Amino acid sequence: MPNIKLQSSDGEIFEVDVEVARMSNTLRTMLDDLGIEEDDGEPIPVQNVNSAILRKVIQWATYHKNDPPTPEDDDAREKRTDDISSWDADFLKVDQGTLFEIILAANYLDIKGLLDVTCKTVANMIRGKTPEEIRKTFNIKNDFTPQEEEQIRRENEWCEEK
Amino acid sequence: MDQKRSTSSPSISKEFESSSSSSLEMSIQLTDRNLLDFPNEILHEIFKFISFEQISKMRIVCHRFNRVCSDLLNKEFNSLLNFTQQFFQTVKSQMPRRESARRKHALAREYDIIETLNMRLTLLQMTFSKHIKRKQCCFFPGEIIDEVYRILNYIKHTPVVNRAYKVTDELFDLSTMAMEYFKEFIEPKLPDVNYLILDYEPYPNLSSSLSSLEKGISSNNNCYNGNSSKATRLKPIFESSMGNNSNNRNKQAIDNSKLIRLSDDKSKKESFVSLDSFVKSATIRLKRLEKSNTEHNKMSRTIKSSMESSKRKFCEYQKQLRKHQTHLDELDRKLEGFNSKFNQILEDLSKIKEIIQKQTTSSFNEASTQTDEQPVIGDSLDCDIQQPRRKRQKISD
Repeated sequence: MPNIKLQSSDGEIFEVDVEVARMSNTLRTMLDDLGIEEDDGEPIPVQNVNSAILRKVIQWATYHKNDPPTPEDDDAREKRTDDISSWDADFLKVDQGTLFEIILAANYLDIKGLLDVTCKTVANMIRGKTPEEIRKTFNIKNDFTPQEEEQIRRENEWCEEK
Repeated sequence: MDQKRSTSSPSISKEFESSSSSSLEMSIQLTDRNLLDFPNEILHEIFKFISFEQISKMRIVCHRFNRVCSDLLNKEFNSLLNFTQQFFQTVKSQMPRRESARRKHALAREYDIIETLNMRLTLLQMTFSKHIKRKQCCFFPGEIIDEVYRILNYIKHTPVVNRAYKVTDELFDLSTMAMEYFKEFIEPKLPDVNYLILDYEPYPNLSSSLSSLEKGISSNNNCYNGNSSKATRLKPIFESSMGNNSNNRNKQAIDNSKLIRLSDDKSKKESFVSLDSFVKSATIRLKRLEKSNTEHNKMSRTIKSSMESSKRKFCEYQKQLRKHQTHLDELDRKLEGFNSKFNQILEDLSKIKEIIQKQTTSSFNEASTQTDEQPVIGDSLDCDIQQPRRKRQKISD
């Protein structure tokens, strides 16, 4: 099985299966454009992703490398978030900062499946929470003036029974 | 409120709840990355898994959330409006043009439902769009978007759909509530909007959809045949309208305009058939809009003319003011002249005073010397007096 080398932003080199690397659209385009099929000794730099996060991403991609390709996104209208596999759920039991870093890496490397599952995880952290709970969960400061807050509150009262 | 929201999404799997709660705990040991550090497109990726109802309620979290969520709501509302419009046209193009034949068509119920969707969204747009365009508010009733998606998914996945009014009942209530609330509580507090021509967007198939809506509702009570062929027919419609959405919009637009022209003739003939509350409310609203438009135009015209006249007056006043100012300056100058003259006079006066004082003192001195001589004068006077006396004495002697 052909391998290639990836280099994280902090210089660590990871040897991965080409098929695993090709899970990332960014890397796949790069490999295709450069005509790389096998390790030629030169590591491919993956800026923006440090070694800890790149290790996680490779772990995820290795597990999912045989997944059928995700169908084209015409059903984004359906908001299912309860379809996360238990492996993914375990995999994503990390602190918030790491989860966010994985999202950024998935976005940068363009790995749709990983981006989806991580975003779903964050969405599940948001879902059903009051605005105050959301602020607390994500350490967000309420930066509205009382008047601005009042306007939004009034708009959101449109369907309350009186 | 919260309970209501959480029950609305009961399908969170168990392992999921545990994972989210564990990350909640971990959020306490703060990390360097904040949710707000994400670029908008990642926030969109996350929020696309959240119901629009909650998205509209999350706007109050902070400014950034408000911006991202408002954008999402507006974008989604607009794309739904376009989607239902195209979907409606494609369904319509597959239906027979004769109304009686249409009622028996396999897609009759779908046709009614999609027509109601499009109608309700158009009405909502008429209510909200001018304020959304001016960024005074966003499309805040997110539940309506959720409900429209629910209906679209229902049509897509249900082989035999229910009667239109049963499917769209909730949407009907929600959209009416939203529009009433908006008119009653929100719009009066927004800055006034001058009705300009740009507010009157072309509603290309409004007249046709109005008229056919009546038919749709009246046909609800009719049975229809040929269910078996429906599913196979509907599928390509979904696909084609979705594909058209992104790919060949231009072509679609041309097709649409053809359709509109075709349907226009028909709608003209049929639009007087029967009236229902939809049509009534829509026409009343249109009339009201037109009326207020003309009123506002009139008002703006009068305001303009009065502005102009006041501007003219202002100019005049300014001119007068300038004249007065020059006059004042002249007066000032004169006053100064007078002042200097007056000062001179004062000086002269003081000089004169001095002279007079000198004179008085000298005259006083003279006077004192004169008083010394006076008795002599008196003596001589006495002599004079005495002399005649003496003379008289002499005479009397």
